[in-house]
Amino acid sequence: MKPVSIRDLAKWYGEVTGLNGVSFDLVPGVTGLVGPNGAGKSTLMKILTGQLKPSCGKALVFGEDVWRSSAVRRRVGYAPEGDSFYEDMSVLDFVRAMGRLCGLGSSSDAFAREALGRTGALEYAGKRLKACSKGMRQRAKLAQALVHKPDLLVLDEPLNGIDAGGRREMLELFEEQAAAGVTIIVSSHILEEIEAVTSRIVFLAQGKVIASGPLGEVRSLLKDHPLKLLLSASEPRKLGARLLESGLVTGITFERRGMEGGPDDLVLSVPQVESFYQALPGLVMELGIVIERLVPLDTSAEAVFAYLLGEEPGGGA
Amino acid sequence: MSSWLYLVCFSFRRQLRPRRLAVALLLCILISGVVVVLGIERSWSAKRFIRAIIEPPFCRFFLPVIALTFGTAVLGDEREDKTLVYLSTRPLPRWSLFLAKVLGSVPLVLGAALGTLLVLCSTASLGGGLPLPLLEMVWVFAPTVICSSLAYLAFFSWLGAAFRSATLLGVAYVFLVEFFMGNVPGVLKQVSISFYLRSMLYDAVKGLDVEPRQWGGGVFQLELIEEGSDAALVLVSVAAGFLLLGMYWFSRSEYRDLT
Repeated sequence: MKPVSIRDLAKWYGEVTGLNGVSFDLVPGVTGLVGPNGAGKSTLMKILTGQLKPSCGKALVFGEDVWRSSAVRRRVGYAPEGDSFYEDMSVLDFVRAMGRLCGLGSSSDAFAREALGRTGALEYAGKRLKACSKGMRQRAKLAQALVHKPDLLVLDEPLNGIDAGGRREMLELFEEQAAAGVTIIVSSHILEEIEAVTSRIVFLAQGKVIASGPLGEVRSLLKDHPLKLLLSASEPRKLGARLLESGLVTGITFERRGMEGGPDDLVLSVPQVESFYQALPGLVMELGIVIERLVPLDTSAEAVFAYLLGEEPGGGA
Repeated sequence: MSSWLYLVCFSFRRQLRPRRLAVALLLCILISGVVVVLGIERSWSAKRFIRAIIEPPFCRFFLPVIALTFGTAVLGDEREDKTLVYLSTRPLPRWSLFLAKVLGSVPLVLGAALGTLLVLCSTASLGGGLPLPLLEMVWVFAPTVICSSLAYLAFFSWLGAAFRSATLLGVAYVFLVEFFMGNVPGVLKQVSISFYLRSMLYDAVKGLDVEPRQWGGGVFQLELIEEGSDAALVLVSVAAGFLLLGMYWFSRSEYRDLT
């Protein structure tokens, strides 16, 4: 039995569609749920944790309908996206209380300390939540999701507000949990964040799954996606002409940079990214020009979604 | 079961908010002040005390307002603070969450109601004039206070589960239904909790020879239920009914504003 099985799941809020015909399974390990804001990630997570009832379709968690069965929620840990807490409680009291409500009884204190230790929040366990920083609160939120040692972890944007070092720790924690056989679904609107912990990604946009599977497979869909690069060089027109001539770029636009009269930036449409990167140093040497900056403009998750949806980054279909 | 009992205690502690307790204390002081002022003018008799203090300001104002304050907060606080998500994702049936939250509020509502009743009776008996010793006097009113407090609490708790702006609706209900319709001649008054409250109250004080005040020189005849036990049954049924309705409502409702 798969830990999570979703079939033809739809959720409507009146006339607004939250999810539309979503189907996929989750297996133990980390799965990334990636999508722009409003894609339906939180709606899906709320359905998986029994907060929302599907309008149609099925969302089975360990073979049970999580909306109807409260017992199955014992096996689910959830860290919501919102930054809401019982503000006057201490971090330890909060996590301990959540453990008690999961049926941990008098052992909840030990479980709470263990969860706080894992999330790196034990050092401020006695601090009131209202006095905690965003990062501390995120760790407390993760600790309450972990406290009862769930088999399924549903984490909605868990890395928001955590610094780079903290992110690394959290990602290690997810990997550790996955290695222990826990099924984890992590949502994010930043693809790079998710890529660091898993190769299994579900891309969600406008309430639909637009691509899913190992990241390599999704990437192969993107092979023909022309990449937009911003290039600043000492002689942009000369370089642009040469790039067009060589066929390495299919289009060039000029962008005014800084002061009047200065050189413009080039925005290049690159069809074969690997070939472009291989050929560029030779061309630069040949022309004797200096490259000041080379920045990809559309490798963000939004750009990937736009491509998968058949839209041009920036709006036009 | 232990986690559900823990939730009852957790809910009780969550309701102990200084602002809410201050409202209860302030109202208690206010009504006690009225008892002191009116007691200086003339010493209290049972009739005067019940008609001037126990019925209008205490039973028909203090009790619904206190029940409104705590009742709408049963779920209102969690919804306002967006913390309901932490409860609704725990392995407890949804109906049991509502039940636990309401039960956690019962000691506070009854504590505030009976505590204030004790303070009022004590204040009135300081000047003498009350026909019964203090605790006996409290004992006469206590069943009415308990039954009506529970009915109000269950009603306002359901209101909090059903509507986001439950406090505003509750205030409107208190003024329109409890104050206005509760005094209207005919059958309309029977939709108000205060009608059964007064029926129970005046049946309890029959032995003290106190009857309800008739307004307009008896033109607006206030007919109450003869038997206090019948009124008590209605109040208990209202409490149980709204509790069950709230449990059902909460178990079926999605709260999209959880987080």
